[in-house]
Formats: sequence, C-alpha cells, structure tokens
Amino acid sequence: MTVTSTRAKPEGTLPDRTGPAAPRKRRRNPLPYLLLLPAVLILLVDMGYPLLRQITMAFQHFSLEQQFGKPAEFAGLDNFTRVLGDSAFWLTLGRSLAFCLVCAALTMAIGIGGALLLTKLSRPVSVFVQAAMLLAWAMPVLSSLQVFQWIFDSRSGVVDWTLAGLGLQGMAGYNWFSNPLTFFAVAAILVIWMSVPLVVFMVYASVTQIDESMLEASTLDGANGWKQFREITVPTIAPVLLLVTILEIIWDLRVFTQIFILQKNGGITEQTNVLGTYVYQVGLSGGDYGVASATALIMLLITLLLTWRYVTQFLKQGEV
Amino acid sequence: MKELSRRGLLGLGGALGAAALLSACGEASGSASSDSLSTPAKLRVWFMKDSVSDKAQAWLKQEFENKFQGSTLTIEQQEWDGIVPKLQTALASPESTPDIIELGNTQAPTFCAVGALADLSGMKEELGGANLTKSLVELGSFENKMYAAPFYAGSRIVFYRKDMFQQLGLAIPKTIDELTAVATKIQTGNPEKNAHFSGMFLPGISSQSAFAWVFSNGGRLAVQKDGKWEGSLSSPESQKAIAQLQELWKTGSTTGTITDSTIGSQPYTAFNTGEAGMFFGFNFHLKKIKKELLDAGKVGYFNFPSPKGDSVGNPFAGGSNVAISNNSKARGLAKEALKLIFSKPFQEFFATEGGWVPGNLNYAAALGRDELSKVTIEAVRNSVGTPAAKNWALVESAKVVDDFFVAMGALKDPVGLAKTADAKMTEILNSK
Repeated sequence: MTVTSTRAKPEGTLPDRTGPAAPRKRRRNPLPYLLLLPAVLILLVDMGYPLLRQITMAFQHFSLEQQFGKPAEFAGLDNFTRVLGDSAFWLTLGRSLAFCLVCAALTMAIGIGGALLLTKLSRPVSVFVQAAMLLAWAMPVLSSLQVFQWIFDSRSGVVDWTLAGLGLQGMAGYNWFSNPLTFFAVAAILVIWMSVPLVVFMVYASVTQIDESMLEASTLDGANGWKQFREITVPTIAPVLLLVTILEIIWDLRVFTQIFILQKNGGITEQTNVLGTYVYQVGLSGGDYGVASATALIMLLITLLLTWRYVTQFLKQGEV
Repeated sequence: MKELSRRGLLGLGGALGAAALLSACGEASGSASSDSLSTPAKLRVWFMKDSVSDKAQAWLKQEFENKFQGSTLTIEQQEWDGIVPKLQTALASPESTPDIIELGNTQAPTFCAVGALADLSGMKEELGGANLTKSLVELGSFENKMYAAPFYAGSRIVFYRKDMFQQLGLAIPKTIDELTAVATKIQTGNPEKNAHFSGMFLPGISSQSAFAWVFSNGGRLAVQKDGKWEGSLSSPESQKAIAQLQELWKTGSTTGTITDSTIGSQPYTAFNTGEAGMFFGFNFHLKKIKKELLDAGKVGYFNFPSPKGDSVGNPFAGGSNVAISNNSKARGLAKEALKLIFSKPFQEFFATEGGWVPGNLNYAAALGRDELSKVTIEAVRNSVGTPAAKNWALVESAKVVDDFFVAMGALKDPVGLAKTADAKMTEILNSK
C-alpha cells in the first residue's frame, strides 16, 4: 500500500483543544485521516469489492461458461424476476425466517436465563459451568455436527435407542433427517446449543456490572425478583441485549454449514433448504451465479429490514 | 476419525465455495499457459477416493519426477460428495486450479462444454485411440473434440452369502422378480437372528445402485427428443422398475430408509456384521469383506439379473474420465503426465490393484480370468450411463435424482414424485 499524499508532515505538536468559543481558523490535521486509511482500505478491498462484484453479477447472465471466460451479458432485472417468480424461493424464505426467529428467540431466552442463573451460583460451580460453555462454544462446528449425527443416527443413535426403550412406538430406527420437521428440530437444537454460550457470557458480563446498591435499595422498597429484572436489569443491559439479538438474527438467518451437512444425510434437499443453502444450490451447484447473486442481495435486504429497528436503536443508545 | 476428516474436507469445500461465490473470482482468462517442457513445474493432480491405488500413485509420481528433473507431481485425493461445486470454483482460476483432474463420467459433459478443460483431441491416438472405452470417449467429448479421456470403468455386481442361500435352499436369481423373492425369503428366514437384518442391503440414498432396475427394464433417467431433453422417470419402463424396487424395499430389504451417504457408500459393512444376505457393490469391495466370511467360502457373486431372465441386467456404468484444466500453467508437462497415465504399467494397475476396467481396453486382460473378473467385465459390457447432456452435472448436484430415490426408499408416491423430478430435470437440462 503506497500513500501518495505528501501532506503527512506533522504540523502542530499539540492537539488543538480550543473550544468553539474561539473562532480561530484551524488548520486541518491530516494525521487522523491517514491513520484511518489502512482500516478503510482493508474494508474496501475485503468487503467492498465482493459486494460490488456481487451487485454486478446480480444484473448479468453469469453461468458456468462465464466462469470459464466467456463475457457476461447484461441481464437487467431478469435475475430478480426469476428469483421472485420462483415458488421455491418463497418457501425457502418462509422456512428461513421461521427457523431464524425460533432459534434467535430460544437462544436469547435460554441465554438470559442461564446468565441470571450464573449470578446465583457459588463460585466453583459458576466457573465449571462457564468452562463447559466455553468448550461448547469453541468446538468446531463440523465436529459438533458429527457428534449430533451420531446421537440422532437411526440405526445406532442414542436418542432413538432411549425413546424406543421408554416404550415410544415407532422410535426404533426413526430417521430424524428425512422429515422436514424433525430435521429442523435437530438443526435448531444444534444451532441453539452452539450460540447460547455467547449470549450467556455477554449478558452475564453486563449483569455483573449492575450497581449492587441499586438492587439493594429496590429490595428495601419491596421489589420482587421479576420486578427488579424488568425495571433495573433489562434497562441497564439493554444495549448488550440489543446487540446480541441483532447478531443472533443475522447469524441464524444466514445459517449454512449445519443445514448443508445435515442435508447430505436427509435426502430431502429441497424441503430443507434455507436461504444460505438455496443460494449455494442455485449458484454453485446449479451453475447460475447471476440468479444466486440476485438472491443473495435480496437476502441482504431482508436482513437489513429485520434488524433495521434494532440497529437504529442501538446507534441511538450508543450516543447517550 | 476417517469419517470426521471426510466431513471436514467437505465442509471446507463448501465454505471455500461459498467464499468464492461471494468474492466471485471469475477472472478466468485462459492465460497464455506455458506449453513448454523445459520450465519446471509443480503439478497438482486430483484423483478421487478409491480410484487410483497407492501403488499406482507412487509409480506415477516417481516416473514423472524422474523424467522431468526439478518438477514435482503431487496427488491430492478428493471426495465424490460435493466435488462438482468444488471443481467449478477451483478450475476457474489459474491460481487455484489443479493441473490434472479426474472427473466422474456423469460430470464430464458439463465441464467439456463450458471450456474448463484443455483440448486433448491432438493426443487421442497416443493415449489409445480406438482402444479407449467408447462410452467414456462420448461423455468426454464436446462438438467432436475430446476434452476428457477415459480413465476407468466399473459396474456393480451382487454379492451374496452362499451359506444362507444353501441353508434356505435358494438358487441364484435369474430375473428381477426372483431377486426380490430370494431377498424376501432370506429376510424372513433371518438365519443369524439379527435384529437389523435385511435380505438385501440397498439404501435409498444409493441411487446409482437403483439405476440398475431402471436401465434393465429399458427405462432411462432422461431422453432426448427433437434436440430437447426430457426427464424420463415417469415412463412406463421406469415406473415398472420403481414398482419392483418398492416391492423389494417392502419385503426383502429393511434398508430403503437409510439416507446417510457414508453408510450408503460402504455396503459391505452390513454384510460383514451379518446384517445382510446380499449387497450390490463393486468387485473391489471383495477386499473389504471380512476374512472369516471369505475363508469359510461363504461369499459368492452374480450379475444383476434382467427382467425376463434371458440375459444379464444393465447396471449403471460407473467410471471416470481424466482431463487437463484449461487454466493450468503447465499444460505441456501435464500432457506428459497424462501420457504416463495411459502407459501400460499405470493402466494395468487399475485392473490388478483397483479392480477397475482400465480406460484403454487393450490392458483389460490384466483383470485376470477368475470368476470375479468375468462377472465384472460382463457387468461393464452391459452397463448404461447417465444422459450425455451438457447440464447433467447440475442435475446431480441439485440432487434431483438422489432425492427421488430416497423418497422411493421411504415408499412414497412413485407417480407424483416422478412427475416432479422429471419436470425439474427437464428444466435444468434445457437451460442455457
């Protein structure tokens, strides 16, 4: 990276601290901008270029032949009309939204509950629980996927074995991955299992920052636990809750690996597609990069729409 | 552990693929690649799992590196599952492309048509000419140019437990109906009183196995009419085959609902644990069968039967083509390596080590004259391939046919689902 600007000479050794009361014309110091430059460049190359490329491709007829060198033709809105006119897309969208909202809601509920529980535990137990959560969180997703597949395996899985042992009819050899509902149940358990620890950690960290005296005072005033939680805890940790919720929604909406790997064991690919795997299937497997890019853009828009309120609220709170 | 790394690789492939989709590095310029032999290069070769024996790999590496001092040849083993998207992204850029690649014969037409592969027409004679397996040459050609040469071929045969047949007084089935009857009798008999016992091990996810029923009845997966492709699972022939399959899954096999592709690709496992009386596998699976069973003379094999019993049935034509990536920076040296692959020693390794029928049929005699080789060659001779359509690989990776047979294994509605699958195939096969 070369910096061509020659104005990088440091002028003024001390930062200008005069307030607006002194209407002296001040020279702009270029140093802060220069310091920003690397970060901006990295962002541009890393995120800007792919995004730009994706937007271009969304308006092109771009298939395998183009991937191997044939020039791409401009497609106008063709790709978008094709996606929006495809009933499979709408089904996938509905499925994705439902999966995302259920997972995010359950993750938040379990995570907040876990964090509050953690504050009540004795120190050694709390450390043990945190260590266990950290392990669950740090486990590579492919390894946990493998373990989950073994647990739910139809021929030798412990779940089927237990359920059958309890006398439940038809559970011996039940194939969890060949029915969309049970498929998503297993996927949801896995996704929630992997994302709860982060929520617990973040909420726990912020809950422990709450002023003890405030809680004490409220107890004296006769507030019960639920009231304390609603009136003190939630407002205090609201910024953290908002941030984690946004992240959870974004992550759960673009879930890919878990579904993609489980699909290989299901044989019901189309009925279990979520947005991520749908884009992959249209684009990489189907060789239609234009339509896939258009779908990915639509997916981006949906994510923005879903999280818009939270993001603006979050920014507002950040200013306070 | 092997299992784990397999999935790891897969996931990685998926992740890389997704990353590549987002960053879309489509700058395939087919750059002026060096065709010279004097510049040393590091050749990367992608072979598929279970294709090329360790011995053959070592031989190729050594021969090549001896012949071209300073150059190296590295073989990277790939998994079948998810290979098409992986190739789509890897082959597209000179930086990421392997130089030599093995392509499943069903995938070859797609890559030949889109300009991903170097033209091999000029060296066709040198590689074997008229002795190259014809069906594989067809799948590896586009507009009369050969881009992917026949690598090897193989077809499934039925393995069975001789002792169980004897005990129940069963004869080798001559027709498909007899096969179902035999499977049913073994399953009901369950000689070893095994809880998971299946007369025949035939997972729903193993669609390539199920193709034998379709092809033997005269059905096809898709047919070409007036230049347009049409899915053909609804044809009376295919429907008859599916009825036979579902009959088998109802009475002679408990494995139709198996949807784990790993279990599906290892049909010998259930056989080894005494959980199956028969399985439909490749000749080289014999090596995976438990020694006690083999030593006790309990294992036999026969060709897939025909509907009427007048000939051998038509199993799926498995096999591969081998090609040079058009984006390779060392196409000259890659061609030299290809010549080594088509030389007598390497081709014979297919037969002697792998149990495949080599792409150059001149060397097929190396398979031997024993019963297993005879049955295998008979199976290959009668085998039928998937449609030689440019977009067939896309049908495969959209899992249209796989998912259809999984549903059949679960005994779902053959007529309605065949219609849906046909419509999807028709759409994909005729799209530009």
